[in-house]
Amino acid sequence: MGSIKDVFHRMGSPRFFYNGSSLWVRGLYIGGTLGLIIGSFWGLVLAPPDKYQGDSFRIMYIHVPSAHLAEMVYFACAMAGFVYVVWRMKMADVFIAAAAPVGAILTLLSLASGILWGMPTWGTGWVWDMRTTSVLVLLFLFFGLIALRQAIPRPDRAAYSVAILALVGVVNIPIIKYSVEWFTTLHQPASITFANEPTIETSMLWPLLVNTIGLYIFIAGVILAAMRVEVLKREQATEWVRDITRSMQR
Amino acid sequence: MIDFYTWAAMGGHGLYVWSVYGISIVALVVLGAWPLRAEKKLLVRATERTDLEGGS
Repeated sequence: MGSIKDVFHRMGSPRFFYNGSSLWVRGLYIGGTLGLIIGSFWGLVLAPPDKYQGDSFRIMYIHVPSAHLAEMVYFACAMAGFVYVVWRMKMADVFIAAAAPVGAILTLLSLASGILWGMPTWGTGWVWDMRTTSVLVLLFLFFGLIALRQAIPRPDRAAYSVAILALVGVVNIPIIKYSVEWFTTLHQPASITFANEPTIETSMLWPLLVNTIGLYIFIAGVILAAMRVEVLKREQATEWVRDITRSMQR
Repeated sequence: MIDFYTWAAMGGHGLYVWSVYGISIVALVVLGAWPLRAEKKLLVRATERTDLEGGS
C-alpha cells in the first residue's frame, strides 16, 4: 500500500512529472505518427470502397477516431476534475489546462469531418439532430473550460471552478454516445460495440482500429507535451526550473 | 490495378475526402508542434532571466 501511495505522491509532483516525461513525449509522438500514417494509407489505398457510400466512407478514418478521442479527452478532464476537487492535486488541474484546447481541436476536427462527410452522404452538412447538437455542446464545454480559467484571476479558485465544470459537463458524454439509440437521427448507429460483433467489414475495420490507436498515442503525447508547458509556466520561479536553465547554460 | 487519377478522384468524392485529410494533417501538425515550441520559448525566457539575475 505504501508504494501505491508513494507513486501517487510522486505523480502529483510537477518536478517529478517534468523530469520523467521528456522521453515519453518523443516516443508517443513517433508511435502515434507511425500509427496514423499506416492507418491512413491502409484506409485510403488498400481498403475497398463502401457498397453504398463509395469512397466518401474513407472520411470515417478521421471522423470516428477524432470524435471518439474528443469524448475520451473530456471524460479524462472530468476524472482529473474529480481528483482535483477531492485531493487538490496540482497535476490534475495541469492536466485539464493542457487537455482542454486539445479536446476542442479534436471536437472541431470531428465536426468538420462530419460536415464534409454529410454533404455527399446525407445531402446536407448539418442537421440539428441529437448527435450533432450534443457534439456541438461538447465543443462549447471545452471552450467553457478554457474561458472560465481565464475569467477568474485567483488560480486556486479558477482551478476549482474549472474542475466543477468538467465534472458537471461529463453528463454530455453518455448523451453523445446514446443519442443515436435514444432519438431519431440521421447519424448512423455505432458500428463497433463491446456487446456485439462489429457491423463493419473486416477489411474496413482494421485501418479504423490502427488509426484510432495511432490517434490515441499521438494525442497522449500532445497532452503530455502541453502539460510540460503548463508545469513550466507555473513553476518558473522555483529552484528546480532554475537548475534546469543553469544546466542548459553549461 | 486502378491508375492514380482514378484513385485520387475518389469516385467523385475527392473534394470531400482530401479536404478532411488536409484539415486533419494541418490540425495534427499544429497540435503537435505548438507545445514543443512553447516549451522551448519558456526555457529560453527562463534562461535569460537566470542570466540577468546572475549578472546583477
